[in-house]
Amino acid sequence: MKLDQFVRKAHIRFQFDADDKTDFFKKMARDITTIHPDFEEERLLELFYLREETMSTGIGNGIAIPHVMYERCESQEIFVYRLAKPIDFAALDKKPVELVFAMVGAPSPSNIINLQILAKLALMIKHPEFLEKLLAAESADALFEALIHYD
Amino acid sequence: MTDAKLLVCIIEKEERLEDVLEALLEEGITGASILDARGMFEYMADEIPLFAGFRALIQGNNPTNKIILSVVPDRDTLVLAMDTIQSVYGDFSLPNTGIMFSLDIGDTRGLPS
Repeated sequence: MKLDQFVRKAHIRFQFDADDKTDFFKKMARDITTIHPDFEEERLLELFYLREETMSTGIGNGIAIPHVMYERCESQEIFVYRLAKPIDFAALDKKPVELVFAMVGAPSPSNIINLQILAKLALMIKHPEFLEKLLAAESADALFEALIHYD
Repeated sequence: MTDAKLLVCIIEKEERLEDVLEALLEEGITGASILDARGMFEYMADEIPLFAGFRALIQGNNPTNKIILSVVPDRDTLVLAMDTIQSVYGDFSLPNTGIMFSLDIGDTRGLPS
């Protein structure tokens, strides 16, 4: 599975400003609903908060992968946020988060595709060289290119 | 190579295990090992933080499965064992029930002759 099916250049935000985790989710939900006017900002926010209540999606090394299954979503989409400054995400390794991959997926009985995307992202950021490349990207274009060429 | 077969039966409805084992015993199939197991998604939801949110979404939501391993002496006994399990447990083609399959056995040690 390649990520280019799920990531669009227009869905990458560079130097995204957020004061803290709560502020990030509010701004992220607003941003996603700007891209998808048919999505409800409040509902999206509620789903992301519910997921974070289960356990932080800050998986370590400065990366978070919040993800929700949203009834109005018809496929799977990844929104990428390179933060202007790292924020505390209650991550597993306690390190602040600086790059967020937010996934909104269509609910399905098996959730196979949603799980596959998460697994792909999780595997991807376990490659130190690739992670370094992602974090060193100096523009949305560079981040996008790095992402879609990862195999 | 022997005529023996290994029967592998993964049961997701754990509460039916007792009935299955009693039925096998009644048919004279007296040797089996029972293993505790977790399905891949259950394991991931419980043990890998990124997938924790999927716990409630997993179909069937069985926390654990049981695996029956039984070495049977020949194909006839294998078919008898499979039919017996299915008659008690139900149709394995339904979702969230389990799977059952067999393997040919090569060299062995410790099997009763």
